Amino acid sequence: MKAGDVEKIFRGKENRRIKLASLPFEEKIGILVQLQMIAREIKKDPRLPVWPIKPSDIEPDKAFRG
Amino acid sequence: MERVFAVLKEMERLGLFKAYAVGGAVAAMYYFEPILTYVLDIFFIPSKEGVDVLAPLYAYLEKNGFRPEKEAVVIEGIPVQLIPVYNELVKEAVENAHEADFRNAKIRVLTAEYLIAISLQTYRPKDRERLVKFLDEALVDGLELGRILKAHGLEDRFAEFKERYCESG
Repeated sequence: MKAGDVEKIFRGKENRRIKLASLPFEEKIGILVQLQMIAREIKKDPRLPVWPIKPSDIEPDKAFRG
Repeated sequence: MERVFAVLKEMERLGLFKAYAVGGAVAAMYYFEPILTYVLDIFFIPSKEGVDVLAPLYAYLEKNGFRPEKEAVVIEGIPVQLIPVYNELVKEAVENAHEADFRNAKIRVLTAEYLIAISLQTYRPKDRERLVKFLDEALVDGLELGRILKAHGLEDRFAEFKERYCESG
């Protein structure tokens, strides 16, 4: 691999980060939940929390009625 | 997640705290790429001065069926860590938080400039990592940041940080 190729990869990664940074907050939370799911699978630890993204994901007995 | 903010809004309405704002990794994520976290940090200004400012908040949450788990309270399936403002910088940051839309809710998020200042003050390895991301990816108001850093005596640390960790110095 040439030095120019490495630079191209780093520039691509940087552009991807900047693009992700400009996403709406709601979409970022969606990505965070995906990251939590991936981490739970990789670590094989079902105790790791995955945030419920929609109100319907919440178990009824834990829902707020205030 | 918007229902967590409904709970917080209700707590504010009941006078359990004066104001709140999202901080930590989730607030940072508002400004740069998503990063893995499990806890939603909420900074709040207590209604009254006292030794145990968390007690009335925990009592209210437990009454509504939300259980404490380690250092957080699980609200609507999300571990939420309630952190009372612990110094002038953090108090000022909550007072000047940015109001943002999240689905159907209005939420308050610490601004990028205050998050940078707080990260410089705490300065743990993860704060330094976030600082690099802020400077690389976030839109930051340099004048406002300069004002905050000067007011809280953080200018020298910021200069030192930039020299050590940023390519352009």
